[in-house]
Amino acid sequence: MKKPDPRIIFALVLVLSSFAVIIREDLKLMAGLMLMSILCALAIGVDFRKMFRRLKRLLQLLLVVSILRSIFAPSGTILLESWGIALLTVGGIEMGALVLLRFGLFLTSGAMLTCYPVRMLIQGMVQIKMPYEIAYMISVGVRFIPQLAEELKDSLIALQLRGVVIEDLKLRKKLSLYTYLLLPVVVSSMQNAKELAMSMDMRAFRAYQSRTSFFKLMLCPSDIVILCVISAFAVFMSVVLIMGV
Amino acid sequence: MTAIEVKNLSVSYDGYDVLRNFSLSVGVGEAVLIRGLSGCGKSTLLHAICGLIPDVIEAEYSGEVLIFGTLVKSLSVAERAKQLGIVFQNPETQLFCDSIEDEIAFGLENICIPHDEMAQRIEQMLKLTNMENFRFASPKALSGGQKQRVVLAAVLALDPKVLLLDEALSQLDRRGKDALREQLRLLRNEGRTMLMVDHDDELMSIASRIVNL
Repeated sequence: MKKPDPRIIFALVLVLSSFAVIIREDLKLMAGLMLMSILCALAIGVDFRKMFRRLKRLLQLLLVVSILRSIFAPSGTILLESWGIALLTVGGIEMGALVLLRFGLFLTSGAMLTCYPVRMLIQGMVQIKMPYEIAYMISVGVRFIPQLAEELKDSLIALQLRGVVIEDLKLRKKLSLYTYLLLPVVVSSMQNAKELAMSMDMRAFRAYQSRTSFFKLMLCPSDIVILCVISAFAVFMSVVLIMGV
Repeated sequence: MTAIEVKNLSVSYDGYDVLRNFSLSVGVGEAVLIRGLSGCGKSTLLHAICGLIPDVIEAEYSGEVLIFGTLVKSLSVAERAKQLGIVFQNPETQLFCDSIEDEIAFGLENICIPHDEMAQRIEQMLKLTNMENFRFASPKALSGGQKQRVVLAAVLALDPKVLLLDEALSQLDRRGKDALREQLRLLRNEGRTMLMVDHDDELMSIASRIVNL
């Protein structure tokens, strides 16, 4: 199945994340929104298993935040009480679930964008009239994050080869080790970034206010249909929120 | 006619002199090799010639660099890219697109070349560098030598009058070096003006003149 144009996904992500911020207390609405975003992500080809593996720690953290929110924002029926203090309430659990769903929505929206090649995303941004310098800045930034991680990994391997068993180190020593490693890794990444900038500069980057494009995105009829559905959904959600249906 | 003229160029970083009163003249169609030990200012010279010093790289700078009689400082970004193309040492930091085709198109898009002409130039460059079979491949999947050939293709697509090579062979294996050297030989035979810097003699066979720095 052909993936929709990235501009359609930008619209979808914008709608989903905007409502994720706007919806404050309606758990059912948020759950519905989450369900819809999961279905869209599956249709686009997001690999949730891979996503969970990568974000396992973050999801665990989110779960802890949700539980804390549930404990510290008590309201409604008390489910657990200690010395007269409500520890767990129905309202608290609902608030925690809202936090979890909100972050889940952001992550799913972000995951949808990762299903497209960077070039397509840049072109999409350029064709929705975003200045191309900013589009390239984002893409180069995104590209440098894995490079930074790779360099850190290389430095850690180099240390291990010299006999340092990082797993056996105590937390304090581990932290100081990372502090020592961070500086050379950042300096080396900055050097790479400078070389990249020089190379882009010599190939006439930012020579003119605009630039031509060899690769162009074209909206096909199915994209228009999806865009209409997204717009209708946005209107429907706005009405629901305004009228409080 | 003189393609590059360097007059009394002095460059220093934080008070440390890298080049002092250096002068050089490169004629049109010449292939000049600048040889010297590491740290003697070869790369600095190229950076000054292509205007990266002092525009992008901060350094104390005096003297003049003229490209076809025009001060390099007074060239716009687009004019500079059409006059000078440079291949740096490390291919990893010169490739930033998803495919080889995009990589070659990048510079052409920047100088607003129309689509049809762009397609033609991409085709030509892929053929020239023997990278036709890799058109849609990711640069990450290529060997060092292939990557450097892609960089060369991307630079030559802009049809610069002068080609600068900053130790372009130094990070390649023997096969990669041989393939790139062959491409450069073809360019020299076509009459392209080239200024190459290297710390050993790998490019000596291509050079029509050698300058020791």
